Amino acid sequence: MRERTSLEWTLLVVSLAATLAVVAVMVMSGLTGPRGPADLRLIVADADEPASGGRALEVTVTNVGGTSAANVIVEVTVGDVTREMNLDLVAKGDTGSATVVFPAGAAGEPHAEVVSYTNP
Amino acid sequence: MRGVAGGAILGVPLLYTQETWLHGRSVSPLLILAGLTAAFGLNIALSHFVGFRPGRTQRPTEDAVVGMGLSLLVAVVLLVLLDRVGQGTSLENVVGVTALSAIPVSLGFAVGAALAPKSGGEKSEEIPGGGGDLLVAAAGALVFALNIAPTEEPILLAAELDGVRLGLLVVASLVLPYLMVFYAEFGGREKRVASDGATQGPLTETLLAYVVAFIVSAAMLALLGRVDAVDGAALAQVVALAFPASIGAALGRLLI
Repeated sequence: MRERTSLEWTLLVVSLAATLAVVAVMVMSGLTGPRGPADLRLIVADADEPASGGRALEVTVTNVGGTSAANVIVEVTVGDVTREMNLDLVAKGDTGSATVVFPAGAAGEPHAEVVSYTNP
Repeated sequence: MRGVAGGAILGVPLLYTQETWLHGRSVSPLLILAGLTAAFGLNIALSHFVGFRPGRTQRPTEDAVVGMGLSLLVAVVLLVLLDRVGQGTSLENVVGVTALSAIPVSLGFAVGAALAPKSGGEKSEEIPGGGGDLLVAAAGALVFALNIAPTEEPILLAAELDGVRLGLLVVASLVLPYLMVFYAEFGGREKRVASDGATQGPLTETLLAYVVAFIVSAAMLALLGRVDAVDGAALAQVVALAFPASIGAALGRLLI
């Protein structure tokens, strides 16, 4: 059997390291990660850039639960005005965001809540 | 490189599948790990009988480790390029999507040596050079584009990828096929590199094959009513589809 070349040694070491790292993360997250249903946390903040025609609010949804959430519908209210937004998927551990636009005169503290989601 | 080529051929269609992106995030990491372990066992067996080093399969386990590791790296690079993992994606989900995508890539690695016959396909010598190469490139591109064009993925990717990523996708669509056809040690490589003629230098042929893949992709999208105007959105869709089509075009040129 011929000797390995230095390139083959390098590829073997890099490959072994990549494989072991992936296995370690998967075992760790599988054994110690969050369990149970999706748990969606919301943060609403004024968007950095102005939106044409109104007040833009960026809604960030973070799923700290143990299950991914699909078709996430969030209702955002400022004063008497309500807007609804939808995110296709917020996987467990992931963060998703969307922007909703209110009339320029809509002042006051925004309130947001999750209306519904489905299990993918 | 032969293994990377095999991995790209088998893995790219799955990388262009929304369900892979979804299940990589939703399925339990331990289940994905079980799938990866099974694939690794299959890779050892395939590396023993086929492998990606022709005539050098004395170390099938080592080859399977290299195939699996490099498949994970290829998968994560392509997923980042396609913006399927990135900011906002947890490490667990990056690893989950990458591992799921790496399974077919690793199987392609393990059968890399068997992907192209040493002397070309039957009657391949009857195909004239130049135009013949582009004809088989078009056929290969059509096979890959046909599988993906009717799906939502090219539209989704085109809508979500920024200009930089689309540019990098064009670069990848040129570099990967070039390496597959002219650098990987598939049968007939010397003949392909040495071919002369206006359309048969490695760089010229690679560029022309991409143009063919691009035209095939545009035609498929137009045929399916996905593009109905010449604008930036249509261009982005064609670029997104032309990547797998260019892999198909390279495979066509390898097989014939």
